[in-house]
Amino acid sequence: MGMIKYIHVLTLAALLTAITIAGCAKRASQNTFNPPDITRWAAPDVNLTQLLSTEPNECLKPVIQSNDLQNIALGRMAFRSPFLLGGQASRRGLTCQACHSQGARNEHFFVIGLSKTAGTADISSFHFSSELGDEVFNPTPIPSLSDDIRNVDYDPAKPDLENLITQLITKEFTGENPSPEIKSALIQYLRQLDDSYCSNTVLTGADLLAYKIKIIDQTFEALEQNSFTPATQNFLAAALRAELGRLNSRFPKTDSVRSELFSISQSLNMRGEDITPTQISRAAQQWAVFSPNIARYYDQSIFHPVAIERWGRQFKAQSP
Amino acid sequence: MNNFTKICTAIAGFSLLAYAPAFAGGSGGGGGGGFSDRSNNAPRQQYNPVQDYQAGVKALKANDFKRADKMFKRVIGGTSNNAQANYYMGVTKVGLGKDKTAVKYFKRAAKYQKKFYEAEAGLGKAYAASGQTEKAQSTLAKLQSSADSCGTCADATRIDTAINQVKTAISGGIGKTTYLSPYSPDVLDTQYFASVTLINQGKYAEAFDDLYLTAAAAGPHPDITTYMGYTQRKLGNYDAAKTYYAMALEVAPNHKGANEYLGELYVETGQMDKAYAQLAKLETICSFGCIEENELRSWIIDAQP
Repeated sequence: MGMIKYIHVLTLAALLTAITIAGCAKRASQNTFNPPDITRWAAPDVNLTQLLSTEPNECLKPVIQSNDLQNIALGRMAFRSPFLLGGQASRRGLTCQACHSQGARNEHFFVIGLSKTAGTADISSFHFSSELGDEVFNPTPIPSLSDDIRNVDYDPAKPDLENLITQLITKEFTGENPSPEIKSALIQYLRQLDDSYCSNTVLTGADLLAYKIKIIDQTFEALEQNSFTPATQNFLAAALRAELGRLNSRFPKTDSVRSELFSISQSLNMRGEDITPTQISRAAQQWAVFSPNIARYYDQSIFHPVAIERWGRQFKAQSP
Repeated sequence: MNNFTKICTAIAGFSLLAYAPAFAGGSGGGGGGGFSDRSNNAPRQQYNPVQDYQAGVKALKANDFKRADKMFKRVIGGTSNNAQANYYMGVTKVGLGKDKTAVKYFKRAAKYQKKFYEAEAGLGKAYAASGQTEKAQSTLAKLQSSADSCGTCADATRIDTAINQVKTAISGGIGKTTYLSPYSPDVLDTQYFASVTLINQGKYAEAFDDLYLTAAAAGPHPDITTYMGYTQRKLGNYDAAKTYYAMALEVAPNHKGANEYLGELYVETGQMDKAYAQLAKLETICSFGCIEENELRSWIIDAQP
């Protein structure tokens, strides 16, 4: 009798384990790992450790008003949103950030057919623009935006920044003209960029991870204020999901982190409806509980040079 | 971290994510991105037929028929309806002296792709080499009929070459192998970029021809076949478009571009239930949202009365 009871307990334990494993497997399988997007627009011979562990610092002038903070969070996310540029650019996942890392020149940027050397791009290619293409392969060096914007603002011969951005999104690319609210936030973010306000011009490793976490924090704060129009809230939530996806792509071997990021992203999933305050609050709460733990996994993330080396060997082995 | 995650982490222990091969040579809007291996659309797959296809063509060009046989067998196993792979398998079998077996592959190639004159030539040659002269003559007659209807059409040279090859084979000669694309593997990225640029300019027929040559050199890359489907759809050829989307999805079931465009095709042909199913699939695939999901949703909303 005792033996039969023992077998029953074992069977029950095995069954429960199997159910749990199946549940875990299902959840993990919903969130497959994709390499970081920046590897898709980097030269084949790029130094992966440098590419993934080092980025220009985001140098911003100090902000005083709290609504400025929200606008800058929105502008930053617009700058990083794959939904802004439209057409082929969006399908490739390209963003303003892809060429201008935190406003600085992305010296690694390279797309076959668009770049001649790393850090250059042909902005008049029919590939992205059906209107401004010129059939000529004429890549030019990607500029740093903080210099560029100062030139635009102080040169009366040039169109103003708003017109320039509209032209860029709708003509150079084939995106829809962003709402005045988004455009104004994007302009505010760009005008806030200033190299002279940074003591460190680059971010590396754990600091880079901390920066990525910080900008997600700030986006949640902006979303929770609920001071934007519903369309802008939707745009911001979608851009935030993409940002969570980028963070997800830095944890190739840490299912637990990816599972949590997936869950937060699902809380923000709008499925064509407007994002609700309940959704935002739930996702923000999940993020608030989870985000302080992320740094613990830094050494497993591909912000860490050793993890990058390890991951990079496999990544390169799969490349042609 | 929630409890569920903790339990999963504990059970997973040292389990590592498997790195399935990324697509050599490709991503895509049809596909939706750069063709190279850094695919935004189908980055994780269990099997990569592109590498095997290219290895097969390389082996064939080096007269290493055994290796070519092994490679194309695997490609056809992964994507059975691929006309080019079947064609090259036919050529491989001829190289191995198995003309009768070659017939099967050339027949399939000609069946899966209309106006595949190189496959018809291969078929005629294989019939002749295996002593089935009547069937070779019949293939020749079919090609001659195609030449008559074509006249001076764009395919005239290809048909003429095919006719001459079959005639040579019937008279006991051995024709040269026809390779389907002039492109070498090192220019495929550039070529793919150029094809997608043509699509962006609305030059769908030209883009399709270019994509065909790229696919013939690169193999059944889902980004390329997705865009082949896209161009066919834009030209109004819905059945052909569906076939190409199906090819892409056979190789990469979670290909975002192929799933989106198939959904749009369903919207265009009034099959809304199927369009919704495609949207549901994209919602699952795009864990962190994606443009493909947004685009298809817009199509569905716009189609509502």
